[in-house]
Amino acid sequence: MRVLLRLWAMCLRLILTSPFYWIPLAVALWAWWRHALSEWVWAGASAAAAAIALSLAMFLECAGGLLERVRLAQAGRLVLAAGSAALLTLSLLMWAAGMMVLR
Amino acid sequence: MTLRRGERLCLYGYSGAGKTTLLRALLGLRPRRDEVVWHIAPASVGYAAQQPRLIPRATVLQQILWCAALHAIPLSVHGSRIHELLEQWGLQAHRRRQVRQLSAGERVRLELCCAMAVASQLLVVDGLLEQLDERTRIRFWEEVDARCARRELALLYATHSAREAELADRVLVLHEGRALALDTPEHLRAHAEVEPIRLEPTSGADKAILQARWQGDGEPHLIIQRTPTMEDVLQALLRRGGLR
Repeated sequence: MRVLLRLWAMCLRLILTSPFYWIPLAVALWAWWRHALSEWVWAGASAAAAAIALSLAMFLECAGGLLERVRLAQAGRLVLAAGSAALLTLSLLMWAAGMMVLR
Repeated sequence: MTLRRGERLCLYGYSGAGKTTLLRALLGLRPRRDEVVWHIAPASVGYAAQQPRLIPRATVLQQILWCAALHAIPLSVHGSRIHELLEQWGLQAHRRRQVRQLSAGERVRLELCCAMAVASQLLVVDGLLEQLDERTRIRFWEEVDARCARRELALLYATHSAREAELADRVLVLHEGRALALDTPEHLRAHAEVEPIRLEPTSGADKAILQARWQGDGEPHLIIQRTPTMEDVLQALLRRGGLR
C-alpha cells in the first residue's frame, strides 16, 4: 500500500509540475468561462490534460528513462494503477472546484 | 555464460565494442536473438545506465524513493537505509535539491545510488564507474565486495577502464560486437606478452659510476618486468583475434 501511495504521489507531482498540464487547463478554463460549459466537461478536460502531462513525462522525460525503469522493474500495472488514481484524484478535485468556486 | 551469485563479471572493451548493447539485450531493453534465463526476479535487478535516467523535476530524495517504489521496496524517509545510501553516495547535503540542479558527477552518483537501493540480487552498471571520484569509487567497491562476499549480490558491469576491469572475478573481453575471451583477470594476463622496461643511465657522470660497479654483460642497465594490465590483454587478444 505504501508503494502504491508513493507512486500515486509521484504521478501527482509529475502532473502538477508539468506545463503540459497547466497550459491545456488554462485553455479549458477560458473555454469554460467563455462558453459556459458544464462541470463535467471541465472535469473531463482537466483529466485529459493530466493524462497528456503524465504520458509525456513517462515517454519523453529523460528520453523515456522513467518508462525504461518501469519496464525493468516490471511495474507497469502498479504505475498504471497509481497513474489512474492520480488522474481520478485530480479530476474529482477539479470537478469539486468547478462546482464550488467557478460556478 | 552464467553469472553466479556473489560474482563480479566485467564486460571490457573499447568504446563501440558492444558492451552497452549486450547489457541492454540481457536486461530485455532491446531485442535479442538468444535466450536469457533469469533465476531471479527482474525487480531484484538494479540497473545504472550510461546516461543517467533521472527525473529533473524530482528532488534527490524523491528520485530514490520513487525508484525503490517501482521495485516494490517500501523505503521510508525516516528509515536508516535511505540515509545510509545518501551518506554513502555523498548526497545527504543535496537530498532536498532538485535533480536538475545537480552537477554531472552528482547525477552519476544518484543514478548509481538508485540502482544500489533496488539491487537486492543483481547490480548492473553500464560504464559509470570510471566517472566516480576516488572516495566514492572506493566506497562503492567496499560495499559491493562486502555484499558479494556474503553472496547477496552479483555485479555485472561494463567498462573501458583497464583499472576497473582488474577488479572483476571474470572478464568478458569484447571488440566490435565480438567476444574475444572470457576468463579470470589472472588467466587472461597469462596470454599477454609485455615488453620489459629497460632503464639505462644517460648522463656521463652516472654512466661512469655505474660502469665502474657494473658486473653484468654489456652496458649497465636495469630491466623491469611489469605485470600485464587488462589493456595489454586486450591488445594481445586483438593481435591474435581472440583466445580460440
